[in-house]
Amino acid sequence: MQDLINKINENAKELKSDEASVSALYDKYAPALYGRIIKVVKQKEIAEKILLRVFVNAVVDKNMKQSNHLSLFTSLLNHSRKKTYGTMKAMKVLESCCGSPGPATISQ
Amino acid sequence: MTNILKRNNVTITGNGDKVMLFAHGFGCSQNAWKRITPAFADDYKLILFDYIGAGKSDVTAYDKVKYSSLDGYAQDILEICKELHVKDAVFIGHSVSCMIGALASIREPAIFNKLIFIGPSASYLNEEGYVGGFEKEEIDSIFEVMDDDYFKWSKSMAPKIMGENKETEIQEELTDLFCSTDADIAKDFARVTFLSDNRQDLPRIPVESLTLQCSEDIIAPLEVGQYIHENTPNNTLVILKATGHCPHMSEPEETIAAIKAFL
Repeated sequence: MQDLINKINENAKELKSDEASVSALYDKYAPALYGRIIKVVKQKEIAEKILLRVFVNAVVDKNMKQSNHLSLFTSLLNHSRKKTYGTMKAMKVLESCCGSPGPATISQ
Repeated sequence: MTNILKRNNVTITGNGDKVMLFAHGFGCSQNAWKRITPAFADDYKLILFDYIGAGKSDVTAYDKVKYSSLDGYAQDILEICKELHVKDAVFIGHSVSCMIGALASIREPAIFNKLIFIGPSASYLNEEGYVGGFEKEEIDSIFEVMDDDYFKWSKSMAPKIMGENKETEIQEELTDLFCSTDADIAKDFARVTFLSDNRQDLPRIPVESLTLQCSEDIIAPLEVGQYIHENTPNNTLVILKATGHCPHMSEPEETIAAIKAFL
């Protein structure tokens, strides 16, 4: 997990965002989001990648940063859900046209 | 001067006089055709090739500018045909290759007298009044998945995921095909494939064509095949019982029968 936090912070630096606030955001919400993502994707590495993208998006999304606690969590949750199912569909698509074996099913 | 046949790893088999040219889809190589080519070997000369970046093609021939659109790939097909003096051939394309073949046919109408499209799409992006099968965010996810190399993990997880699936052998074969594709070129090809819009080219296709549409295809849904049929002159639509995006691999007999009926 520390690696993931470092990666997010690296991205935040590149985007000239506030490193401390990203870490705080991550500490507060990542476990809950990760739990939901891993339930769907089943694979740790992929769940971590999705989580990373959710937080990178949070860093660049000004509206999300200005949200209050409840709406921020809801936004992160919604984005996490979209990103999870988008990733699963993408893997299914690539599996279909390339033959790479992605997850066998997409459970909604 | 470039050796075109070597560049695209062109292989020629079959015993007939008439020519049949097979163009594989995104992520595959010419090996993808091996389940259906024997059915045509007695009557046709079979030309197979790998796009640059796929199979045993010459990856050093990759040119980002040339291959930034499907026209670059169509040009390669035309060059192969010119080199081999191909005329009045049957073109069989899978997935993105259907539109590549269509573009080649529009540019040089004498080269093919019939086009066979397996799982074609003229545009993958949904728009008002058009069902392509994908929202923009979903296409972006495909690029992200490729950029993040999710496949490496997926492949390592494959046995666990696949379980006792009887299709495991086919899946492993398919996986090997994908792995024979240059990863960086595949990323570019994915963008060219999924962002292309060839709807305006359909009415310009100069020869008779067949659309083979799978009954359930996550990449090219029924509406896409229907759109191609309705907007392409002299097009026959056949909806296969086969599901998925690669009926020539998963249901070769049904695919062969549909092709033979059209020919």
